[in-house]
Amino acid sequence: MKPTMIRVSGVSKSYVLKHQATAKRDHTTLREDLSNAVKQMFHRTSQGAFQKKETFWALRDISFEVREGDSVGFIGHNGAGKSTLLKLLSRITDPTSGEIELTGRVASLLEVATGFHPELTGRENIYLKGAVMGMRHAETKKRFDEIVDFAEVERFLDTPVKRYSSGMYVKLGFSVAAHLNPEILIVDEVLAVGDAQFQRKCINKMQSILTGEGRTILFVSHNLSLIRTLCNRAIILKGGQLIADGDTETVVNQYTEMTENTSGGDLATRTDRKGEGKLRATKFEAVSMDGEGTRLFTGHPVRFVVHVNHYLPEANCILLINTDKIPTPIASFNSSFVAPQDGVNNLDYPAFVCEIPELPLVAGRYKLGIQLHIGGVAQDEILNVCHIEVERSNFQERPPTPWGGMGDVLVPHRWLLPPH
Amino acid sequence: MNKVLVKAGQSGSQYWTDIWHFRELLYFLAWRDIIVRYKQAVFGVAWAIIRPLLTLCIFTMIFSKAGHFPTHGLPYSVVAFAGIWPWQFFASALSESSNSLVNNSQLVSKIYFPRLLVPIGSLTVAFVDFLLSGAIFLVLILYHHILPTWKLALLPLFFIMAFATASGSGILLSALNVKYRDVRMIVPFIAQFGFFLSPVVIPIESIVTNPKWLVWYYANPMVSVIQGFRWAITGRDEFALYWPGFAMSMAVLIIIFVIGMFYFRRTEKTLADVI
Repeated sequence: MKPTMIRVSGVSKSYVLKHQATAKRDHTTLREDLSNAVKQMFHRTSQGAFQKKETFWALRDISFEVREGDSVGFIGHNGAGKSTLLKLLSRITDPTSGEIELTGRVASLLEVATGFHPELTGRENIYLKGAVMGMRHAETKKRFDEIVDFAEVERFLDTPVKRYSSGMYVKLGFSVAAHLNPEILIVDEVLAVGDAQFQRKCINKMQSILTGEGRTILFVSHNLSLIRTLCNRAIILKGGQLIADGDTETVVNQYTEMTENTSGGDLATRTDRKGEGKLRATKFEAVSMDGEGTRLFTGHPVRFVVHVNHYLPEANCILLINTDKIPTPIASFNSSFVAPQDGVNNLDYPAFVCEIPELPLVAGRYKLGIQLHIGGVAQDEILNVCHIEVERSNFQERPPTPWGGMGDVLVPHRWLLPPH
Repeated sequence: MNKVLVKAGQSGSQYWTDIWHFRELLYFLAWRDIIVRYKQAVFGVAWAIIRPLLTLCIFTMIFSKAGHFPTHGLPYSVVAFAGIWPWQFFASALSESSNSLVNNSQLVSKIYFPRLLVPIGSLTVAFVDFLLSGAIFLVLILYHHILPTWKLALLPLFFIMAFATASGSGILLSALNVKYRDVRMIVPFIAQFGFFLSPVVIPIESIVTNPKWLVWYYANPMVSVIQGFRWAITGRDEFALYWPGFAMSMAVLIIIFVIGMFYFRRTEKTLADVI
C-alpha cells in the first residue's frame, strides 16, 4: 500500500451569513459593529432583531484519504463545496472543525493569475510567483528556462504582464506552478482558458508529474471527459457533503445519472416553457440503440424520443443540441425538412423519434432543447430539457482526441495521405 | 518530507518554521512594492528625497520666521529635519502596512503563505525611502558644519524603535482593516494630526510647558524617537532623553506590539473568508 499524502478527517467549514433588515452590505463598518454592540447591551432580550445570523455549512463532515500517485477529480454542481475544500487543502483558510494532514509541499492553482503583479514584467513575475508559492530564488533560477519554454513567452519576457493576453497569463501561471515540483498539486478549473494545444500540454505535464515519486494531483473540473483522462479516482460533492468516492468510471457514471434525474424527468409539469400550447412535450428520452440503456457513446447509434400530449398531423419537432461554451446550438434536427429515409413510428403513444446512426458528438456534456411548431407558430419550447453526457468512444473506428477544445461535432471523413 | 497538520481552532506549531521557509517571499514582496511604486513615475526614486525635502523647506520657511522656537543655537532646518526624517518614515510605513492586506487581497484569498509577511514586507518600502532621504541629512550636516559625535552611532537604535512602533501598529491596523474598512479613513488622520501632536517641527519645550504633563506626552512612542534623533544627530545634551518619558514610550510600544501580534495571529487564519 502506498503511503498516505493527504488525510482529511471530519472536516467542516461554516460561514456566518448576516442578514440585515435594512440594507445589505459587504463590509461591516466599525460604527455598525459598535452601535450594534451598544444596542444589544440595552436590548439583551431581542438580540436577533438587529442582525439575523445564519450559519451556512459549505462543507460538512468530510473525510477521505489520498495516497501517493493518486489523482483525484472533484465533481459537483456549482456551490457543492469543491472550491472551499480546495481552499482548506491549500491552507488558505482554516476548517471550522476537523483536521487535515498534508505530507509534502502543496502547490495550488486556484486561479492562475494569482501572485502576478500587472506592472511587473514576465521575468520579474516568474520570480515573484515562485516566491509566493514557497520556491527558493535559486530553485526558480534553475528552472527558469524550463518555465519560459513551457509557457512559450520568450519574446514577451520583458513586457509588463498587464499587456499579456489572458491565454499568456494562464500559460505562465500554470508553468510556474507545475515546475515547482510540488508533491501535491491542486488545480481548480483553470485550464478552460488556454487554447487546445496548451491544454494538451498541461495535461501531459500533469500526467508526467504523476509518474514522479510521491506525487498527487487534486483536480476540479466540470469537464467530465478531462476527469476521465486524468484521474484514477473521483469524489462527488453535493451540498457540502461527500456522497461518492471511488474509481473514476463508477463515480462519473453515478454523477451522470444524478444530473439526468435532476434536470430531465416529467416535462408536462415544467414551467420554463414558451409557446401557444396546442401541443406540449411531456417526456424526453435519450437511449442507446445498442443495448447500453441511457449511456451514450460517441459514434454509437442513439435514439431521441419526444413524447407529446396528443397527435397532430401537421406538427413538426425540432431538437437542439447546445454546449455551455457558445450561445447558439451546435446541431439541430428538424422534422419538417423531409428526406427519403424518414418514416413513421408505431409506438403506442404519440411521439417524435429521431434516430442518429452514429452520434457525432465528442465526449462531454450537452444541453438538449425541444421546439414543437404548427405551421411555423411555436406551440411549445423548452430550451433546457436536460443534459446528456456523451462518453468517449471511437467515431467510425477513428479514436477520439485525448483532450478537449478540438471541436464538439464530428464529421465523417477520410484522409488521403501523400505517398512515401 | 515535511508533514503539516491543520487542526480547527489550533494555531500551527509550524508557524515560525513556515515564516523561515518563506523568508525570501518577504524580500520579493518588498522588491515588488518598491519597483511598482516608481514604475511609471518620471522622477522615480527621486520622490523619496523630494517629499521630505519639500516638507522641510516649507516648515523652515514658516517657522524660522514665525515660530522663534528654542533651537539652542542650531539652525532650525537641522532641528526640524531630525523630526521630519523619522516621522515621514513612520507615517508612510503606517499607511503602507495598514493597507497592505487589503491591497493584496488577491494573494491572500488564493494562496497560502504566512500572512505576517505582507505588512512586514510593506514596511521595507518605507525603510528604503528612509535610507534614501538620509541624503538630505548628509547635505544638511555638511552645509551647517555640524560635526557628528559618537552619539550618532546610537541613531539606529532610535530607528529600530520607530520601526517597532510602525510595525506593531501596522500589523494591528492591517488586520483590523480587513474587517473594518474604516481604518483606511483613520490612518491619514493619524499621520496628519500626529505630525503636529508629535514634536516633528516644533520642539517639545514649545508644546509641553508644564513638566507635570511631560511623562504623559511621552506615551506617544514617536516622541522618544524624534527626541532621540535630535540628540543623536546634533549631539547636544539640551535634547537629551527624559528617562521617565522614555520608559513610558517603551511600555506603550510593547503594549501596541503585543496587541497587534495577538490580534493578527488570531484573525490570520480566516482572513481569506472576510477579505
